[in-house]
Formats: sequence, C-alpha cells, structure tokens
Amino acid sequence: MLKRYFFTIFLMAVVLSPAGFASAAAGPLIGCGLALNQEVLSAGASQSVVIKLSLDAPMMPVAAVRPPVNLALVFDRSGSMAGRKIEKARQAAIEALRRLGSEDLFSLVVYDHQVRTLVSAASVADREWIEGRIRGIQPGGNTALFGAVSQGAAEVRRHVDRPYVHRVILLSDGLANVGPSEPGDLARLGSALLKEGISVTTIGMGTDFNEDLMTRLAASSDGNHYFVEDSGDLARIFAAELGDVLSVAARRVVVEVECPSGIKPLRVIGREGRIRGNRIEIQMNQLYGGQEKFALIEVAVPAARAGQTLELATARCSYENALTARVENSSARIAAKISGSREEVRRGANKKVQAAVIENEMAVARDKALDLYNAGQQEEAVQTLRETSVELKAKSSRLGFDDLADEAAALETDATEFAEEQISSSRKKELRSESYRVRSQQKAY
Amino acid sequence: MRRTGVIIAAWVLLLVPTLLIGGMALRLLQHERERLAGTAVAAVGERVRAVAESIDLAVAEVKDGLLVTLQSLPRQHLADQLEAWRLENPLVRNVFIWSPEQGLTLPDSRQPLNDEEAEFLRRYDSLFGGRRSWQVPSGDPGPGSAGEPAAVLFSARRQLRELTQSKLQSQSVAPVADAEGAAPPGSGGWIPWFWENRFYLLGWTPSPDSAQRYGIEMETMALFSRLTGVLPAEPPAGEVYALLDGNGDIFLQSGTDMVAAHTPRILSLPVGPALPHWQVAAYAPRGLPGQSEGKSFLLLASLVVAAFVAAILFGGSLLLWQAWRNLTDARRKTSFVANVSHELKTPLTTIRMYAELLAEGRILEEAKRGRYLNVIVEESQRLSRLVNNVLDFGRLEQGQKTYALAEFDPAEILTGLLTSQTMRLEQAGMTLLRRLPAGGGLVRIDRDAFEQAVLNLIDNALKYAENSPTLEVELAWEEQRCRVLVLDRGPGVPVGQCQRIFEKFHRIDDSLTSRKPGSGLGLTIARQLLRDMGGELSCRERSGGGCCFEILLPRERKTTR
Repeated sequence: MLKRYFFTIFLMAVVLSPAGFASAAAGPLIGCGLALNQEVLSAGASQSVVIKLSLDAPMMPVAAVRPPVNLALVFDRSGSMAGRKIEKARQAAIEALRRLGSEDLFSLVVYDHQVRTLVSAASVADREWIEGRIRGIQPGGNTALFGAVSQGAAEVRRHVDRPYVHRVILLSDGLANVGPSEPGDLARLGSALLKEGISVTTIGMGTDFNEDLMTRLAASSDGNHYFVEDSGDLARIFAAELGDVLSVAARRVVVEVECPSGIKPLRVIGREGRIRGNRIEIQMNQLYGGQEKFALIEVAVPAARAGQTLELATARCSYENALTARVENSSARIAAKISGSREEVRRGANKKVQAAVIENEMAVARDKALDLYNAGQQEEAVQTLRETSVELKAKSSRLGFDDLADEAAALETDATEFAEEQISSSRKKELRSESYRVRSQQKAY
Repeated sequence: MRRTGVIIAAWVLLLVPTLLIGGMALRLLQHERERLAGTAVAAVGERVRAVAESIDLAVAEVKDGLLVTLQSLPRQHLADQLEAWRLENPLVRNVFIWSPEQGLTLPDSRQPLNDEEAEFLRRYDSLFGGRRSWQVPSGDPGPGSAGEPAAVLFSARRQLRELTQSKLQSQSVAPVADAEGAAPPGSGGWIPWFWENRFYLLGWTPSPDSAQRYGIEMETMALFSRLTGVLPAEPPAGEVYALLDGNGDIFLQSGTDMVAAHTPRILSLPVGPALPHWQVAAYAPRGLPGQSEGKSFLLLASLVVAAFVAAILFGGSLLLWQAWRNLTDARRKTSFVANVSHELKTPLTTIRMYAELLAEGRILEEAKRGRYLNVIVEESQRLSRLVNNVLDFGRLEQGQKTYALAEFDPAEILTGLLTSQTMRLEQAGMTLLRRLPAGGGLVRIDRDAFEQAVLNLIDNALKYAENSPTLEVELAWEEQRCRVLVLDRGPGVPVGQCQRIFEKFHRIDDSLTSRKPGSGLGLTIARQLLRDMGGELSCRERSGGGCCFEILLPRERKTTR
C-alpha cells in the first residue's frame, strides 16, 4: 500500500517536473520489489513459499524523450501470404513506420526461399521511399525463416553498439521450409541474439505457422509473441508492438536473487532462470514503461520457531537506463514472520501473489500439456492438466482463496478439451500465445 | 540451249559456296556457344569455390579466436570466468570443466541446473565418460565422414593460414590440412560432434598445471546465422547458390528461383574441414548455363545465317533469272520481227505482182482484170489486218487502247462478220456452220474490238486448221453470260499448250507452226481485248479432234427479258 503511494508521488513528480524524465534518473528508475504468497509462515514445519520478484518501470512521461529504436522488420512474402494477408501486412508495416521518428533506425528484410534486404538499417528520414519499398513487396515462394531472422539481426547489428532499443519483428504465416526449422534451433538463435541485446518479436498470422517455433524464438530472445488469426487485426498488433518498443525504459536487465543459507531455491515458475546454489539469476532484455514484469521463485524454507523473523531473499537488479544509457542498480529484501497461529498464517496470505502463481502455473501446465499432446502423448497431457488442477486448487484453498481455486478448475475444462479427438490448429496457437503472454507478462493485445 | 546451261552452271556455282559458307558459320557458332557455356560453368565454379573458402575460413577463424580467448582466461575462479563468458558471448552455448579424476565439475553432472545443461550432459556423455577420444584422427573431420578429401580446394588464403598454424604448433610433425586434428595430444582443439543427426562443436584446452580440461560448446546456430552474407547477394539470373547442411538440405539460398529435388545442379563443393559434410552448391533451375541462353543464341545466329544465305541465293537467282528472261525475250523478239516481216512481205509481193501485171496493160480480159484487182484488195485487207494487230498490240502493251462500249446483240455482229468471211473460208475449202440464235440477249462491248478478236480466231483457224472441213461458230446464252464457241477439226492444240498459246510471241514449236508464218500475237491480242471488256477467252481440246475456242462475255442484265 505504502509502495503504491510512493509510486504515485514519484509519477506525479515525473509528470510535473519541467525537466521530466531526466530528473527522475537521480534515483533508480526501475523499482525492484519482493513479495511472498504467504507473508506469515506456520511454525514447526518445513514448507515451500513463492517469492515474487517484481520490476516496475514508470510510464514514459512524454514520447519526445523516449530512447531511439533500431527496428528490423522481417517480412514473410511466401506464396501463402498472397491476397488480403500481404495487403494488410503492408498497410500495418507502413503504419508502424509512420510511428517512428527521425532519430530511429529502420530496416526491412523480405524473404521467401531467398532472403533480401529491401531497406538497410538507416534513419527513417526518407519515409516515402521506404513506404514505396513496402508497397512493392510481392508474394511468392517458400519460407526461409532462419535466414530471414539472421538477416534482420545482421541489419540491427550494424548499430548494435549504439544506445538504441534493438528489435527484430518477424512476421510469418507459414512453416519454415528452407534452412533450420526446429523450434529448438530457432530458440538457440534467439538466446544468442539476446546476448547481443537484440529481441525478436514474432507475429504469427493465420493458422499454418509453427507456434512452438515462434513462441520459443520470442521467449529465448525476450521478445513478444502475437497470434493474429485475421489479417485485419495486424494494424492493431503492430501498434501494440510499437507501443512496447517505443516505451522501453530499461535494457539488459539482470536480477540476482540470493537466499541466505538454509533457504533453498526450488524453481522459477513460468520463466527461464538459472538457479546456482542459493542464487537465482534472471535476465530480461528490456522493461517497458508503465509495465510490471515479475518472476516467481519457489523456495523451500526449513522449519522454524514461532515468533522468529526469517530472512528469505535479497534481490539486486542491475540494468541500463534506456534514456541515459547508464547502468543503474536497485535492490530489495524480504523476510517472513513465523507464527504458531493458524489464523495469523491465513491472514498473511497474499492474494495478488497467489493469483500470479496460479496464473503462471496454469500457463506452464498448458504449455507442458500441449508439448505432450504434440508429441502424441494425449493421455499424459490430460493427466498433467488434471493433476495440476487438483494441486493448485488444494494450495489455493489452503491459503483461503476459494475464488482462485475456482480459477484453477479451468484446467479441468482444458483437460476435457485435450481428451477429445483433436484440437484445432487455431486453438493450439491460441493456447500457446496466451500461455506465452502470461509467462512473459506481455500486455494484452 | 547452251546459254541456259551456262546460267544453270552459274547458279550452281553460286549455290555451293553459299551453302558451304552458311554451314561453316553454323559450326563456328556452335563452337562459340560451347565456349560460352564453358565460361559460364567456370564462373559458377569460381563463385562456389570462393563461397566455400570464405565459409571455411570464417568458421576456422571463429574457432581460432574462441580457442585463443579460452586459453587466455585467468585460471583463478575459472568456473565464474567461464560462466561470465557464456552469459556474454553469443557464440558460447555451454561451458565445462572436466578432469579425469573428478569428471565434470561444471556443469554439475549430478545436478544439471536446467534443461539445456541436462541436454549438454547427455550429448557429451560418451566423451566425458571416457568412451570417446578427445583427439580427432587427423584427416578425418569427424565420425561418419564420407571420406571427403580434407584439402579439396587449393586456396592461397587457406595455405597462408596453415602457415601461421604450423608456426604456432612447431611440434606438429607433418603439415596436415586440419589444424585441429593436427594438434598434438594435450594441446586442446575442436571436436566436431554429431548427436541425434545434428552437428556441434566442442572446443577445449588443457590446464597447464593439472590434468584438468576446460572448454566451451559453440553456439552453432549463432555461427550459422552469421553465414547469411556469404552467398552472392544478387546472383546472375537463372543461377541459385545454396549452402547445404550435413544432411544435404538447403540451409541458405540466394537466387530468385526455387530449388526442388529435381533441379539440375551445376556443381557442388564441400565447404572444407571446418564444417564437415557441408557443401556449397550452384543450381540452374532454368537449365544448365549456356543451355538456355545458348539455345536462343544459336537459334538467333542460325536465323541470321539462314537469312544471309537466303538473301545471297535469292539475289543471285533473281539476277540469273533476269538474264535468262532477257535472253528468251530477245530471242522471241527476233523471231517476231522475222515473222512479221514475212507476214508483211507475202501480201505485198502478191499486190506488187498483180499491180505490175495490170500496170503493163497486157491483161485485156475484163474478167481477169477484175479478178486481179480483187486479189489486190483482199491482200491489202490482209495487210491492214496484220498492221492493225501489230498496232493494237502496241496499244494494249502500253495500256492506251480505248474502247467505245455499247450494247449489241452478238448474233447480229457475228452474222455480219461471218458473211464477209464466207468467201475466204470457202476458198480455203472450209464450210462455215453457224448456230446463231438471234435475240437471245445483249452484251456491252466495243464492236470493232469484238470483231477483231473473232477475226483473229478465224485467221488462226485458217492458218493452222486448213485441213478441217468445217468451221463452226456457235452462240449460246446462259443466266449470267453469253458464250461464243469457235470450233474446228484441225490438228488441235496439245493439252499442255492450252494456256501458253495466249502468251505474247508464243508459237507452238513444232513442224506445223514452223511452216506457217505468224506474229504470235493474234491470240494474245484477242484474249487481251476480251478481258478488257470484262470477258474471257480460253482454249480447250475438242472431243473428236480439233480445237475449241470459247469466248465468254458478261450478259447485260438491264435488258434481259
């Protein structure tokens, strides 16, 4: 509550101050916070607790002071794009281009079986020429997705040393059939690009693309993923993506959570993270203004006596302020109270954190079920969903959140769906993109 | 005849060298086409070679660079150093520290931290478990090698690089193409690793002060991703360059056309030891180079050659034909002049003879004198007909003949004309039979021209059918036209000559005609006159012997009943 209050004051200060954003850079830009799903733990038993690490980036005050963007648009022009799809995609690309300013860089790579750079990375000063190039894109051919992303990345890489927000937007509607096409391969490419500070946002159009490939590429490079069934929605998607890209507040975010000895990190729920002994490392390529990103870490807490206060974790967040290009740090620590009273333990449950846990656990379960289903293990998929549902319901009830337990019951419905003959390609994509959105805290689109 | 022979010989002399030159030109063109195709293939080969070399060198340089960095890492807190490097460098996928006694210490082989580490452990289990040698046998780029020669391509750049390598590794015994393989045991290097049909690269170095080995797994996808620029960006039309991975699938391609399994491959070369089994290939989806362009080139060139040959032959033949025509024309004109002179001379001699007899005044009998005068009149009439014919011919040739067209009943004209000719025919021993139904209709003609045409036909009959007992003239009417037939029982006209007798100066060349003097103009003039008036004259064989001339004239519609 107090934190929110402070945040409001902070925001007001930012908006009201004539110097705007720059003055706010005096303190850390990104708020790093830790919270627990159970603030009070019951005494005398070892148990597992979920720590929510949240990173708050303030809303960008005015568009004029946003960090410049280095954007590569990788445009599928394979034969399947013919007709309305390519028409809408061209329009959406032009609209996206119009939102960029003269300090931004733009490059355009088109691909079918061959990859071609139509516009090399350069300032968007000559808009009309670029728009002409976009309008001239004609469909035809296969899908050389790997080469295209590589080429887009190569364009972005030409200015990778400078303080831009580096982003590749991949638009595809089909299966990669020239070059590497395994989701795993593209994920490796994505994680290599992440190390260079380049994120790949993937936009899957229609129902013929490989959703695993597209989400894993986005996930490994910390980009967004969008599923667009109707090409008419493309303009909206591009606007949403540009909204994110143009509001980047921090780059190269590294969070290290350290637990005191005795507290054992078990896993990171929903996100990629590395647990090394009692340290957890989480990496994000960027944080968008006005958005909270978080990670859920499950830790095992040993039995303790009532009345004790147990240090659970300290978090250190280091990032590059996108505006000043300076490295900044912020930190937080969290402790839990141990109590012998059942009632106190119940009251100490944090519903917001638990809701996030449920949501992420469900997304993870759905992803896992989908993987199993795609591998032909339908029964196991159904089993996973049912078990997770039961488990989550039990946990929520134990914390006294019956409404959350009801939410978790939705997995039962999914299990019924998975048990049926076939899941449509479009439904799979919907599930996958929704899970991805939840797990990466992507904004709703 | 001799002259015609000369002309034919000249034509043959023209034909043979022209065809010879044409043939030789085509042969040369074929050679040129093959040369062009050869050049195209050589150029493609050169490009493929350059691409393969640059990929091989790029990969080798990446390997060298990573290995050098690996070897220069400080030994204190090695695990942390490696970890930091992994987090920072896109080309580093995994890092490891291994010792023969302890096995893997990084990553922890008993407790992998995530899926990636677990995969890594599984992938290299045989290596870290001691079941696989750390040294790559020299000359063999990796397990399952198809025996591709390691140094397939000679390259100055590669040789230069090997030179630096051999200096660095002075203890290396024999210079081998693969620097990694050549490394002496314990000096580290790169291990090409194949796992589940995928290609990985593991670089390692021994610790100088212990039996420990540490190293990295390369992020091959990041490496491949950087290879996108190596293929020619805008290859010539109809050529496609592709980088094929270890499975022979297209990894990257450049060129507008699509490549399928059946697309003709111009050539392919292995990338080299740095990427075992990878190939650079060039395809020709629109046919092998020099084949399609060569085809059109050859076609075009053949057309040009053919056009030249045709032009030479046509021009030459035209000149020869002109010469031949001039020759025959001159011959005909000479015979025409001789014939006409003879024709003119005969009546003139007769007139002169009778006129002299009368002038001497020795013919006293009135009847005899009357007869003589009659002969003179007849002969002068014949003379004037002849002169008329020659004059008409001149006019017709120049298109200056004018006609006074009016409507006539042809029966009436024919009756008048035939009556005046009865005596001539009777003297020649011919009976004139006429079938001229009167009042059958009208035709629009010039009377004099019509009379001359019919007269020429009668003259023709008198001249060439003198043995014929009869001369028949028939008039018949049809719906559209009027038909006049002049029929005799003479020797007739040979079938092949029916058309040619109407050509000017033409005379059937046989004993009959050669005996008879004639200008060869009568029938020509008759046909021309009738045609000018919208009619036609033709000749055909008459059944039972003799010949039949047919005049057709358009019937005048206005007055038909």
